Amino acid sequence: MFKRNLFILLAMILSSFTFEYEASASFCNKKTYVFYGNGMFNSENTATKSYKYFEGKLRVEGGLPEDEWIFDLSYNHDERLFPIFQVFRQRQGESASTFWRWINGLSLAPDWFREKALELASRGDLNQMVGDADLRRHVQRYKTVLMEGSRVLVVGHSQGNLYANSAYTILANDSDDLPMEAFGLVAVATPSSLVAGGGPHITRTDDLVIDAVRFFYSGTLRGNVTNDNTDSDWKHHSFIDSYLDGDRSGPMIISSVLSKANGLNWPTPMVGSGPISVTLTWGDQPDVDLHVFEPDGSHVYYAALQGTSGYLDYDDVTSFGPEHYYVVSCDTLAAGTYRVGVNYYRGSAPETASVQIQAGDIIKDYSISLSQAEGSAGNANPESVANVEVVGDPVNGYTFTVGGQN
Amino acid sequence: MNQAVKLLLWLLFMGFAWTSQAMELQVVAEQRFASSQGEPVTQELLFNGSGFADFVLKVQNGSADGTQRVSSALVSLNGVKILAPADFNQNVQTLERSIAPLPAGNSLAVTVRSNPGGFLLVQVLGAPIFQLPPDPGPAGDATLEGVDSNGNGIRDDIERWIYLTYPDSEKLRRALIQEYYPLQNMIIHGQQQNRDAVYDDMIALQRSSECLYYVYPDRPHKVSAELEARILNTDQRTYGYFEASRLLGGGTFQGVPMSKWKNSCNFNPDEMKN
Repeated sequence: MFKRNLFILLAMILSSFTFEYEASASFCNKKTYVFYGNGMFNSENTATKSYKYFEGKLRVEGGLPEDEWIFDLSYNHDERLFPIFQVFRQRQGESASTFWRWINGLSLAPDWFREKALELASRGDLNQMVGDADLRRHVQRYKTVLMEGSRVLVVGHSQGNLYANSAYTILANDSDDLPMEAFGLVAVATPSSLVAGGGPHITRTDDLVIDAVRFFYSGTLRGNVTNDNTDSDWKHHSFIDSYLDGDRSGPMIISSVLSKANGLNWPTPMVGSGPISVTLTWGDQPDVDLHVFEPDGSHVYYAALQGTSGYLDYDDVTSFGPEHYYVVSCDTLAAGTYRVGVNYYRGSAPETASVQIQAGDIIKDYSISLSQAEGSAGNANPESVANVEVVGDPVNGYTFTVGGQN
Repeated sequence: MNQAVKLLLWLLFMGFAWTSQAMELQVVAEQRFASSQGEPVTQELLFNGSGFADFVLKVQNGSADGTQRVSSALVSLNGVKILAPADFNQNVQTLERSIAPLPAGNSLAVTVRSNPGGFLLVQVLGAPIFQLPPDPGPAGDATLEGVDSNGNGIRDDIERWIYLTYPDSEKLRRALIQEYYPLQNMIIHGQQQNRDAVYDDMIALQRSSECLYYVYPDRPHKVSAELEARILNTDQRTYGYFEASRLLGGGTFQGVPMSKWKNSCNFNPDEMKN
């Protein structure tokens, strides 16, 4: 009893910390990033399990070198989960657990629930299923990775393909002339009529969700694979059960992903990459500035681009950004606190700054509301975004935590 | 009495007390079987033995005052005879037998052969493998946080489910407890609109997922989805989780390489036998 309570106490203590991982020498290797864009009706847990399962299968069957292939989840929130839950609640007096079992295919949903879910899946404008704020953050991450010199493959499932296609279009038209031959898409169960950039698609011929979408959008890509084995998901749409574990669709996905990824070009790095990078973007007001206070007190901003650890790439004074702060090498990384802030320098209306911080394996996004321009008076005390805490040394490696305001 | 004798007596007492506690049996399942008119009818008591050990079948014959006793009955467990008609007569008050049920899916068949009015109270007793908090019932669903009567940081309903569903795998129980925290915390932080905390929860969920895949590679998403369904068992908890999802939209979350998934556990699974 005592041992069990001790264990639980330890588990509680450990779980209250942000997990931290060592920055390694692999920062310098060429990398291929595989982003998984989750589908509709996916909770944050389902999306996470899907890409872990996908990574496991791809690494084992593809024999992928650990340091050179990085797997990320590009999460998008599905607004349809709320209305389908409302329908459930109106019709069903049972525990909410039943809803989650039905939506996750743990138990067979009744006809009325299935019909409503499929109706919601196919209703509305496909383009409006993409949330602008979510898309903007995905695009920023893809752009950062591309500019650092890595190949990027986005594997979209269902709704994730709408985000992936939109991201491709935005990146292809980016003013920085991004290396799009290093950016590719693979579409699984896509509701769309195309795969941007000409990537392959895999859709089951009996996918009920995609069938429902195709009823309203005749251009939706046709099913091109029929499995012989059965799956537990009544929708035949689940990324793991219906697709990856399909006797034909599973191998088709793996071979398509490997073929597409290996066919991407290696881009020339346009910016530095390393243990810390901070990206600031904003709207159409002319000037918002990124500020970083390094552990030794160095203040990196437009008037002092070079710090002790890192540097600011440039000062954008003509709207939107981005501005980047980079620590590109573990050689200049210092233990201590990197304080990240923004100053609304010039503009005539309220503005919103978006800041993406990557520190080791951690990536966090922040949205900062700026009410009015402060000019140079705001330089000494910019609006706080987050602190990056670095612990460790060059011999034993470093660990990171990132924490800031809500 | 000298100190050595006192110490010896104290140790003997403590040993007895410990033994008594360890042997304390709880009711796993029980049912009253009454005799009826006409041909004897065989009735079934279905039960799971999960989470218990050292099972005893206890049969009380009729009322405590000696009335309503039966003179013949047949009791079998999963088709194996435990009590025969010869074990019963009007003078038998209680019978006890050690039994070995399966962890799940047991059938105790009882046929009462006696005049109408008699009954048997049949109990399956077992020693709980784990000291678990009581089922909180509806009170456990009244708040987002739920009831944590033993103060160990886990909702009692979830703690009971994890331990009683997976009594034979310590590493899976620990992996699910690790997974519980970010899922439960997301509900709270989502409801609070605490974006930074929800991000930390999501990062912790990446680690617990990697751990779960390492510990239980055979379709862990199904186990996790059931845990998720049980954690999100009320409307308010579901709404908090939806809010967390909304705050996470647009986020990108990096995994650690597969070879390091073991290190994502906040315990050492390789040190555990099961």
